[in-house]
Amino acid sequence: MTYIFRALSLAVTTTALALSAAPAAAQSSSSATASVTINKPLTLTKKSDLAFGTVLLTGTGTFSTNVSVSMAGVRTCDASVATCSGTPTQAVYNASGNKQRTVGITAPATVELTSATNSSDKLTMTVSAPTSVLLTNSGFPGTDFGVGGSLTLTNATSDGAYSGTFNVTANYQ
Amino acid sequence: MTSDSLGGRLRPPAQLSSALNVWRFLVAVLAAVLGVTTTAATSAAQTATTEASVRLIYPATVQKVDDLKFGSISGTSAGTVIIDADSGAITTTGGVWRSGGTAHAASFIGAARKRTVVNIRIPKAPILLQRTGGTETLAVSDWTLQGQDKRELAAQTTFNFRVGATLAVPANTVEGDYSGTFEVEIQYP
Repeated sequence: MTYIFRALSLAVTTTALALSAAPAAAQSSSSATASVTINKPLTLTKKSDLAFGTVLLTGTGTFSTNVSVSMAGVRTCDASVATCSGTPTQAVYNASGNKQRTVGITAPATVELTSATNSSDKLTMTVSAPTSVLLTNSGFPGTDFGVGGSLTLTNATSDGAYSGTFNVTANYQ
Repeated sequence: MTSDSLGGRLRPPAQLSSALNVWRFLVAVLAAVLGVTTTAATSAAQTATTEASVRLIYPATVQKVDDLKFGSISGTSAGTVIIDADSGAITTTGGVWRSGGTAHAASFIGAARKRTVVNIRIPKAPILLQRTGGTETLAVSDWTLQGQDKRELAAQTTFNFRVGATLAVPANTVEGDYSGTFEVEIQYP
């Protein structure tokens, strides 16, 4: 026990020595805040995958066109060079946790899709995702948000059924 | 504690070692107050995996969408399995029955460039499926096409169709996986 007191007194002495050099008006104590936020565990569930549908490339000669599905599931297709069919869907996720918390969303900038018939045929999809989502209720039912994508197709793009996978991450801010 | 090259042991000043002990003690107290445990915490970030997909097709081409699958078939005597292209229904006759797995007609997609009538050609002759790792074969015949073989199409539209057939399963068929290939052609004028 003596052991500890001696060490403490050493620490106190050191502090006193330091203070004796300070200006007369300096405070000898300062307060700081300690804080923590306790949150319900966050859950993130995927509800639907991202599907562009079928794109029939009808352009003649040299062309380059973008086909996209927005975060709201709206597909954009330039009818002068492409005919899109089939139901497009944005990727839909459900995040749940504490009400009124903002959850940061991380998605990759691009995803590579590979053709099922020829693994050397690739498409690069640009991802469009929100940077954050505000949880509007606590726990169930959670808050849904969408992630979309965009593809650049040209007269040189090989046909086929392309697919790829990617991860989306959510974290309390 | 450090040792010097002469093999002796040097101890730090008593005050320093006791000060270190004080900090360790205080940290331990703080940890106990906050209820921090030493077990691994659950990861805070949540991750979900997603698939993205698209089918690209050019006019005057054909792509396979699904293979022709009969699934798992079991039997005590000869029989057949029929996949009907029009309805997609799968039925059995004789002494065989479906015993699970995935079964469906084959399906294809084509696209016309201009308004036209195309002709879909499916196999006429039987094909043989061969057992993987063996020489035994099973015959697939009586090919069926969903809808008409001659299709009237609008310009720049895609169209889909199923292809079915009948699989003959003789008595005492050797167990195993059997597979074979067949061709479907679309004649675009």
